[in-house]
Amino acid sequence: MKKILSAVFLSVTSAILFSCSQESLPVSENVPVQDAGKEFVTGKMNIKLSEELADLVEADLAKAGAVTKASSAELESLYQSMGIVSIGKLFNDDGGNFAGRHRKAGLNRWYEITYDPSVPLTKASGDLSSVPGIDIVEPVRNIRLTGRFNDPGFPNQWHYYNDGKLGSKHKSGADINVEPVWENYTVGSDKVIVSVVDGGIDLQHEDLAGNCVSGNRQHFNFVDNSYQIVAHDHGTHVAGTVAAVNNNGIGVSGVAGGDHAKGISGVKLLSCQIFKTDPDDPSKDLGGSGAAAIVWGADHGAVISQNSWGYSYETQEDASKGKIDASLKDAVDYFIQYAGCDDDGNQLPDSPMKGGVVIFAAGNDGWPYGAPANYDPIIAVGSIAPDFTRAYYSNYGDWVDIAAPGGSAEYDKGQVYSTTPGNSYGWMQGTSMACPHVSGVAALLVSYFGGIGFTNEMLTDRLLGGANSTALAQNTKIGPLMDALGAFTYGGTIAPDPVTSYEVEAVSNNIDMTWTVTRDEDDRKAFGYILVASQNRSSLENPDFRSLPADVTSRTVLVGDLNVGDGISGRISGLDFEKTYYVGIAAYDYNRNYSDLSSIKTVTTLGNNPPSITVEYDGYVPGEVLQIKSFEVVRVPVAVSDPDGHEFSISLDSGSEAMQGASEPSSGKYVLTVTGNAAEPGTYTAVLTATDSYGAFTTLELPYTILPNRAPVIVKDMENMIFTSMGERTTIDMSEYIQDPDGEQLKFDISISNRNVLHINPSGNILHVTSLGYGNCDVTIVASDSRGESCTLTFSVLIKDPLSSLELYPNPVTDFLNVRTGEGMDTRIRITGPAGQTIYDRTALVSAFSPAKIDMSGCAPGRYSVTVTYGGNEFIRTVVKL
Amino acid sequence: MRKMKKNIIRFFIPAFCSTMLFPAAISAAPGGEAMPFTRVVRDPVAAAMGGTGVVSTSASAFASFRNAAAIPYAGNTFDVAAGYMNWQPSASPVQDINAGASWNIAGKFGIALGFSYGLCEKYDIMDASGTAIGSFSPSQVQANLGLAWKFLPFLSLGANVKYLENTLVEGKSYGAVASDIFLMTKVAGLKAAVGVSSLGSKVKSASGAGFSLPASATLGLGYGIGLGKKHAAEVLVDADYYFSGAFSASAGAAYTYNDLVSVRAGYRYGGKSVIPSFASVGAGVKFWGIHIDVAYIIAAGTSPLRNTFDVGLGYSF
Repeated sequence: MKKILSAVFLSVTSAILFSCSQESLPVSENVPVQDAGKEFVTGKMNIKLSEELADLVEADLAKAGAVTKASSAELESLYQSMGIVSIGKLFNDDGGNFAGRHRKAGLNRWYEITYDPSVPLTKASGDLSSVPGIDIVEPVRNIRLTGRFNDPGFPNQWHYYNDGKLGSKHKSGADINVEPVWENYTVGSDKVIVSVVDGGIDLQHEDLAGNCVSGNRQHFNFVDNSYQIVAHDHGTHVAGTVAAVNNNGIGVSGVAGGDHAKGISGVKLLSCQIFKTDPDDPSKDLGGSGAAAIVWGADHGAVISQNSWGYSYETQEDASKGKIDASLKDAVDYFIQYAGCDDDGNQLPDSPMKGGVVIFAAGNDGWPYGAPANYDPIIAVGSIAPDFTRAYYSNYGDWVDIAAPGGSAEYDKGQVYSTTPGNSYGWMQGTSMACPHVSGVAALLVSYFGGIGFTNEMLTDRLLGGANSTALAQNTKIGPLMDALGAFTYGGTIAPDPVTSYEVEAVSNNIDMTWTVTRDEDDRKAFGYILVASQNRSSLENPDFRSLPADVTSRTVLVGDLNVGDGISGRISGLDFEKTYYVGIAAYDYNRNYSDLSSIKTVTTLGNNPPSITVEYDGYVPGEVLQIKSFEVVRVPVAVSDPDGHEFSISLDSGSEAMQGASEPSSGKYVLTVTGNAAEPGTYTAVLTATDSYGAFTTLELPYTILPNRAPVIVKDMENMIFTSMGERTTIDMSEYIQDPDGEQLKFDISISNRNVLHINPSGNILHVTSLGYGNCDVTIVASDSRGESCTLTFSVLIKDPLSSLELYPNPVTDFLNVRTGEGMDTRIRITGPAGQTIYDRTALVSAFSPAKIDMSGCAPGRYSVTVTYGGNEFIRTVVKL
Repeated sequence: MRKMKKNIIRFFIPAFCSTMLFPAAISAAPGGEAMPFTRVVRDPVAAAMGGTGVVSTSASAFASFRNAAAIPYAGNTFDVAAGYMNWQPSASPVQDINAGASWNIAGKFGIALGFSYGLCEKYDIMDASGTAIGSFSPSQVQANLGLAWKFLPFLSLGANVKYLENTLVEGKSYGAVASDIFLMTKVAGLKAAVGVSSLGSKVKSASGAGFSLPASATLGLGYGIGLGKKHAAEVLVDADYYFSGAFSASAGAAYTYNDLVSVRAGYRYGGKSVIPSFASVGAGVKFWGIHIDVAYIIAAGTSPLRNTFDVGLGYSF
């Protein structure tokens, strides 16, 4: 069965659902339809072939570079009609190295067809779907990188950019909003060092090595008191989140990992190892001094201390009493005071920040306690799941300063994806995973704002002050959500430059506006624009954009990746028809500082136009009745659009059960499918109605006739067949013997009287015949059309041992003895009794399919000698009568 | 188009011909008599003389196969012999081992025993579709007992009882009992016998039909003369009228020199009887009571009996 992958547009603006079935939408439902736009590549189509056709095509392409008529006349004909340029394998098996498993997985049956881009997608899809042997026809989607970086693991890192699609419960925006920072501010700087107080970082990891502090005697192992760092899962994972090398085409991205492709280094990672896998019990870790490790960081250039660890308590009650150890307190205080400073507490000239910040994970007990993170100078980090909710394990409370994505294994792909030792990558969850997101953003802030005079207080202020305090429910109790862009724009009070020039155009009751992106003095560029329209000019004078009057209609447009000076457009829709409106544009930044409104322009909206319906089927002539053969399944693509860009719905009164209609997202068309044998022959009329959201509609009447069915007929008698060996094969083209006057592909039902001697496998019109054993059988072939009308053809098959030119059977015989030879000729058969008496002597025409049949029921039990003479040869056999 | 592999030999014959080539089943009316091998002459002396032997008194060891009434007229007291016969080797060969013995008790009574075992040529077992599925070698066995009583100086009565068995397939044998009953007289050199041969039980086929043995009314005549002390000649004639309606007759002659060497010849007219026509020749030597005899059947080119031969070794006193 062919499968045409189809998608259904649910709304004008957004979501797309995928389906892999032929099921069409019920015609009674009103389905909003919109042009497919540029979601699919023109001139390219992926197809999946049947195994048989795949083998033929592969052989053709290897031999001639093109599909031949012998393999598939239908596909070959498309070279001309579709303008096929090339057909090639979709999946490269690396010179055959993986051919076996590709074949096992069916990948060898996928091909990509390149054809004339002017051929409509729907026509190409329809033409290819009609080729026997093509199981699936799939348009090629336009794809884009889902992130700024080309790291292949980036699409899994929802914690950086969550579009809500990675998992069924993911929600868009449940991330740290770092992409705009990478785009507009910084990707990190090697002047910033983050000390990772954790298990040892895999310093040789392919996606980390470039961002690790280089030089001898920098990293230190506090478990073994050695400079030798031992790679650890946890520490390596945390380090990857802070600063895995970005845009290097491998692995994952880090929050402050630089941009390898542009030659920009990320922040530097300093491994201060306090965990090491116990070699005697790999399920446990050996620990070192966290306090000493924190101090080591301050003494070796780090200004950010990343700590995804905490104290272990037996009971919640114990935890409730927990507080930071004095030694650790001293170490934290030391880091905050002396990081980036000289012995006197003055900022070092090459340090990006005066003083340091110590960031701790809140803990994974699900309790409202958590030492040492609850020590006030420490930035305590709680964890969210991919849907803005507090992760089930996260400690919480007022002492938690900020939340970040730590993931949850309760969600599909809901954990944090990062580096693990040995050039590998993996998923982990925990406040341990949330914490390095904050450390990474802190490192970005220091990278961008750092320098002489930049202090740890300023960093903390931005980090926490810029966090999103509305994203999480109040009872979450893990602080506001980390917002990288918010941190960078925090404290900005200067609004973007206003729009000074723009174009405006009315389209029905919509007003389209076009202008260019304006700059923002403190935030580089505007974050977005608000478009306003009102029939009352005074409502647009000195507007409060946070609280517009009721008679003002507004729309917002985000700048996104655009830069200052780039063209940008927006539409205010849903206005009254044929009314005069006053319009204007204002820019705003991330902190909702609004610019002045642009100059106010006047525009009059237009009237409403109904949707248009155009049949795009070659066999359709307006005013004539569409002729459908009784067996045919005909796809009639219909282009439905609304000239005003309004949403519209389509309804179909099909006229008979033979016709159904459904939207086809791959082509953007509404496709009427007429199945000839789903209704009795006759003439029907389908009525297609497209209605826009304001009630304007267009109808199309489409009369169609289902022609009467004609039964298949025998055009030539089947010949009997002789095989002279077992296991031999031949093929029979049934179209030479049975044809359908309507041209329908017939179905062949085959019965074989003795399945021990013969096997027949039908494939389309071809019967693959295989001899299994010596003997004979009768074959009956019933050829049926889709309406069940049929004709029957019979023939006999003999599989004859070439060493035995003569067969007398059955032997022993009880009544009739058969004498079978090869080619038909006069044959003398003489039977003599045990004592020599002649009991039968006769000559007649005998052959393989017309054996002599001799009644021996009147012969007494005993041995008989049978002498058979034909073709100048005499054969003597003994037959026993019982 | 049909593809043909070059190593496949295929013939295509229009299906409609199949009903024209052999329009009707044909009944095989002859062959309705069971166990015809019981009528085969085992004695190489008789075989050389066209199969005659009903009144033969020179070789009585095989009397249990034909006529026990001849024993009291035999020229010796005891005769025992064994032989090997290759029956119809050109058609459906049977390797026959035969043995017989007779005791002439004071010219008044006679007792005879006989045994024959024939191993038949192996045949292919074919299933209903014409596929060979095995093979089997049939066998045939015959065991005889004969008694004679010369109740008048010129007239004797003899009877044989024979058990016949024919194994045709593995585990399936057919059995029957047959008898020969004769009256015989000998006056000077003239011998005559009359009686019935192979009278016995019926054999049932797999379908349940009964088939009679090849029984017949039999007349035997013979005349022997001596030409001086060293020469002797004998002429024998047998005639059978089968109860199936067939008739057969045999005639044979033998010349013996010095009671040492014999030559023989004969002819059988088979008619529609179970054994077809043939001519035969043979010879024999005898010394110190031991006699060796051979016979060779001369049959038409299409006769299954051609090239049949029989050899025997005996001792008599």
